[in-house]
Amino acid sequence: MGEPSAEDERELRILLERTVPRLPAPEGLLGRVRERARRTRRRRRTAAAAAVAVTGLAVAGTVLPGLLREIPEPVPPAASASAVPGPPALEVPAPAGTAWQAPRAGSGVRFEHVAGVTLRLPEHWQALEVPDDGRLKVAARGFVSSQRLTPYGLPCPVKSPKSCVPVAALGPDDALLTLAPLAMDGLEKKIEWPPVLYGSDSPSAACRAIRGTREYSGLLGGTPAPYTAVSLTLCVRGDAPGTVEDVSAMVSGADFGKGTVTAPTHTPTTAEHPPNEK
Amino acid sequence: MDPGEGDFEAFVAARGPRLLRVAWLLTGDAHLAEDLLQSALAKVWPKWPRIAGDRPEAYVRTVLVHLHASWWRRRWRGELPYGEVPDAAGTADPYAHVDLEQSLAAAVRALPVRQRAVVVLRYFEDLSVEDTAATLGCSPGTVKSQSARALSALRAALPASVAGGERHG
Repeated sequence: MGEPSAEDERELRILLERTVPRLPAPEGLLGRVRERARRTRRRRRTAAAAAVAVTGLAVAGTVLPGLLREIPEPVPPAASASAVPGPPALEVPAPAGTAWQAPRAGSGVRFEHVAGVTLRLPEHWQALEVPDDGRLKVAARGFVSSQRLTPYGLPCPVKSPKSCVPVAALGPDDALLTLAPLAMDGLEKKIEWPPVLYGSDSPSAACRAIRGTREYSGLLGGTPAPYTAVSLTLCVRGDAPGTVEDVSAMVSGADFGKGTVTAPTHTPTTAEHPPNEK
Repeated sequence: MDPGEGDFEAFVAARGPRLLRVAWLLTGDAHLAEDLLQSALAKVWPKWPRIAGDRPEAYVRTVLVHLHASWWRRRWRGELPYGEVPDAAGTADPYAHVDLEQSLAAAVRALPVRQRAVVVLRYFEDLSVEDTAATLGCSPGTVKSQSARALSALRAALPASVAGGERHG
């Protein structure tokens, strides 16, 4: 294709200058710019804190076993038994010899090993958790995904992040949320309410390993002692429209068994969150 | 007040309206344009003390164009491609200018995002081929070929009334 003629270019310049509207200056532009810049700065700090916390936990689990041993077992919410009477466990297949567990499910799905957090999953999402195995090969983790979760290969080697999550590969527009309890001083200042998920176009190796293209991280506060927060890491493949909003809503409604979980009024769990279907 | 904030305010007051028009041409929508400019300025503001002395407008323009491209990639723009370019009215039409504006916006919006950026930078911002290439992070040859394709597409998309008599202003 040849170069456009000078006359064509001149005419286009004139046309653009004449027709592009002169929009009124937006009111309060500078104020909004400043607020946005400050918000971005806060997000980066929180995301960095969450990343440091997760990395620290992983390192502690492999290099400094003594540190993890000092984290007491999560205290089960006192009201859990009565608040969520007789909750059936999700029927997720757990291979013999592994420590994978299905979180207890009532009106929400309760992760006993992730600071006892209860989440109300989006429809058709699945949940799975793995406790600290006591031998410090595996740190406690909770997983929530829009696709089928398949526990395998525990204890998983930390150097191979792909085998440390119950998803071999995310499907298009699918997502995996990983929850990890944290007990580190200084996190309180980084916690926001409602929890905010900060996105990155450069997902971690663990997220890329399951074909994630975008990763979000954040901190969930309100945990019972000795925990200071639950780290949230959402790995998404593709645009996944509405997923981040769904997950944000889910973690905003998180409950740590302080009496706000109500007894189920209908048969929940497997009907709402079929374990083996997408 | 942060360092250099006075300069930043002066810059926004002086160049904001022009940059808003650039954003409009990129997005084709007044609200999106405002949001795009706001986002770009929010990215620039913390770095202002460093860039204020060295062609800040070029820096802001680069952020604006790249931010728009990333919006496009993530499909956060919430806009739908036009199936076809709206008809342009004859010159006697009292709303001719509005129609012309809409036709042009639609035609520019129908361009691939890179060609659109080239049109905005070269023909609206009047940058040289080299400056356009530097802003977009591509070669001058790419800018030339993208310009040619964009002009050809615009010529085909804009109605004859615009492409002919109307264009001679």
